[in-house]
Amino acid sequence: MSATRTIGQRLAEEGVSRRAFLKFCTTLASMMALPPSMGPVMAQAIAAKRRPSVIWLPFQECTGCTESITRSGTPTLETLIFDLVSLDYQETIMAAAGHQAEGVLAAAMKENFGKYLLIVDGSVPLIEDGAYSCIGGQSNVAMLKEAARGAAAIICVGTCSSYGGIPKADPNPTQAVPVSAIIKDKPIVNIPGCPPIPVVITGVLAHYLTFGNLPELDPLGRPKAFYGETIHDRCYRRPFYDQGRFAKTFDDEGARSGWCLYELGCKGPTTYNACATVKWNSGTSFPIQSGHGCLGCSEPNFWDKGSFYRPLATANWGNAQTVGAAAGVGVALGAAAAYAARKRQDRFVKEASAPPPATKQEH
Amino acid sequence: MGGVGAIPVRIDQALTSGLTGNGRPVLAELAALAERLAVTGASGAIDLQALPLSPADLEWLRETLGRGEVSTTIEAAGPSSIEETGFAGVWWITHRNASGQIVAELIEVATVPEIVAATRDEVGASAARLAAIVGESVPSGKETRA
Amino acid sequence: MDLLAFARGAAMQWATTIFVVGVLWRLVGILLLRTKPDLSKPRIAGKWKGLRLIALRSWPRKEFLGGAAFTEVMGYVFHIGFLVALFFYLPHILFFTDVFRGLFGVTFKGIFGFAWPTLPGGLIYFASAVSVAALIAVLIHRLVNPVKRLISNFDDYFSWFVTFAPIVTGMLAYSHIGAPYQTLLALHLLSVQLLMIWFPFGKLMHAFTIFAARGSTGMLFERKGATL
Repeated sequence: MSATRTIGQRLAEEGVSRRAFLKFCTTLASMMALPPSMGPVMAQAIAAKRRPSVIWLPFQECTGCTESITRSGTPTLETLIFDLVSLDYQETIMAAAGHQAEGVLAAAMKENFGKYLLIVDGSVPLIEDGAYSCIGGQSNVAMLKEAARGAAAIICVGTCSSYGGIPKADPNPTQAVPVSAIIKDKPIVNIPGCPPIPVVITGVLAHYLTFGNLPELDPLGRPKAFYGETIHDRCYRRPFYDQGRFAKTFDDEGARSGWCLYELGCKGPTTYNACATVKWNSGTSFPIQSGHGCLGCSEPNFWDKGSFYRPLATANWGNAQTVGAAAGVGVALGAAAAYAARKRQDRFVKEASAPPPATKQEH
Repeated sequence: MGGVGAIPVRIDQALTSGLTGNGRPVLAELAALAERLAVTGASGAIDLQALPLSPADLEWLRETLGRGEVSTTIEAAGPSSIEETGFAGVWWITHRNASGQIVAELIEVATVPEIVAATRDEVGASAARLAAIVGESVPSGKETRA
Repeated sequence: MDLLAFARGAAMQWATTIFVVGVLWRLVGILLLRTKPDLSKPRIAGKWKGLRLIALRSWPRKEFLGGAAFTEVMGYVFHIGFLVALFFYLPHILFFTDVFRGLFGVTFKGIFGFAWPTLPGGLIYFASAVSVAALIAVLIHRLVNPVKRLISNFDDYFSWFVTFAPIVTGMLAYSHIGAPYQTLLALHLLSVQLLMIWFPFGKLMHAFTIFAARGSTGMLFERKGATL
């Protein structure tokens, strides 16, 4: 199951030469804002290690995260994930199925108890004892608790496992929750994104193999090396934002000139991710470069934060009906207040002009 | 209506280029690294992607550092070019992936960049393989006489 | 639910509702009041010319200028800086055009033919800084001047605060100083909502009432033949 060969040996067998791996590690170090001297250090440290066992559990997810990672053809930083770890259980790509697969999972957890990395994608539904998502008759929540017991750390891949994601969107009919809402006693790394950038996973694994611990995390549990800056801060269209050049519609002159998409709903200023620098598909592009504003998909509850196409500067002030109703209430209260004031006025006037009370005759 | 390809798309490059002056401090850092290499033998590197350098800044650095005698290409998961600048020991390294996109760009200060040199282990493995080839092709002790 | 989602969601809706209810309550409540009928003969016919007092009271008569000059000037500096920052900064314009379209069903540009102009962010920042300085100056004056201090009440100080906070938090959000941007933006929105909620119930209502107040005083003076 877990290779007894070192990672370096396995890489050589896969046709990834020492120099290619050194090149990968140099690139990773650069992406993670580590000094360039760390490239060779990482390469050397990782090549000497044995691959850790990784168990990948898919819960209430769309499989987009798995797709994002497995779609590369040539050896790239993304596919390097599979060389760095011994992926002992991954339902989408493993050959075994049914009882055989269940046996594989049980054996992997037993053999590597306390040492395996648990990767989770998808949220965990809780309602009806988790009946809305079961694998082989076992609910996700039960599977998660069982698998977490022997895990060295849990890596939540995608916004669903990190924060609940789309299943958790209002009204959350399955009572979907993130992994961190259930497991409290294991280190958890959140790698959100819908889907997340695959090389971030590679980076976290490389860090773990080099240093033996998890990278520094921000308050939402995301590796600071990749989620430390907002899209806005590194966006190549930032000069247009600063100059006040905005696209007003998706096909106007501004859009064709590549101007800022703030007015078309881009959530870049409040979204932390590495899309603007690392990009997608080996640095090909990212949503804004392709002409669409950022959805904010690596932030919690991004699906419930209002339209993707209304600018960040707008807010939910209501609508014409609520304002109209409020106006009606206000006018009614004002009229009532004025009426009460007039009535009081009348009373004073009446009291002032009333004849004085009859005095008692003193005879 | 014409196809999607008929819609003209222009990216206004003018706003995103221009010298920022951030190239000069890089030279200062290279000087310090070179001094350290000369005195202690310790090599070092500067990650160009980690610095706020515009395309014009990179051009300026390239021109200022110039070209040396050595130019190397490594084919490993895509092409990487290692070029000695006009300053001995200062190497400009550009790593590209299999699609030709730049994945890393750095300036390394070393006698020979780390990625170029072979390791002792690798050389040991080569010796064994060479010996195996030599062992195969050597004829048996008898010499044939015409 | 994080702070920014709350500030952009439920908090904004409540603040808008309370603002609309409160302003109309007070305005209608004032406008529907009855004045005592004046049975004397008017000195000058045509009291509506008295409305020009609304404009005339924009600057004190020179008899009163000595003591009032400082607060008059600082008041203008604050108001102009504040209104420039509020109405010519792009994100604010986006907010207001969204409200306009939501209320009237058509865009501003659709009705008036031009888009509301914007000013560069740096200029807005400068205008905000100037208005903040003016606010601080008048607060100090209020605290130092014995008469002003004597007659100042909660409304004076709290209205100052709910005006001060949105401008300062706006500047902090613009410059990304002091906290992550999401937090700064949330604080800015929450401070604006506090302003909106307090607005109808304190002296900030002068924004609407000066027109009725000066206007009615002007008409009264005109009728009496007093100099405006």
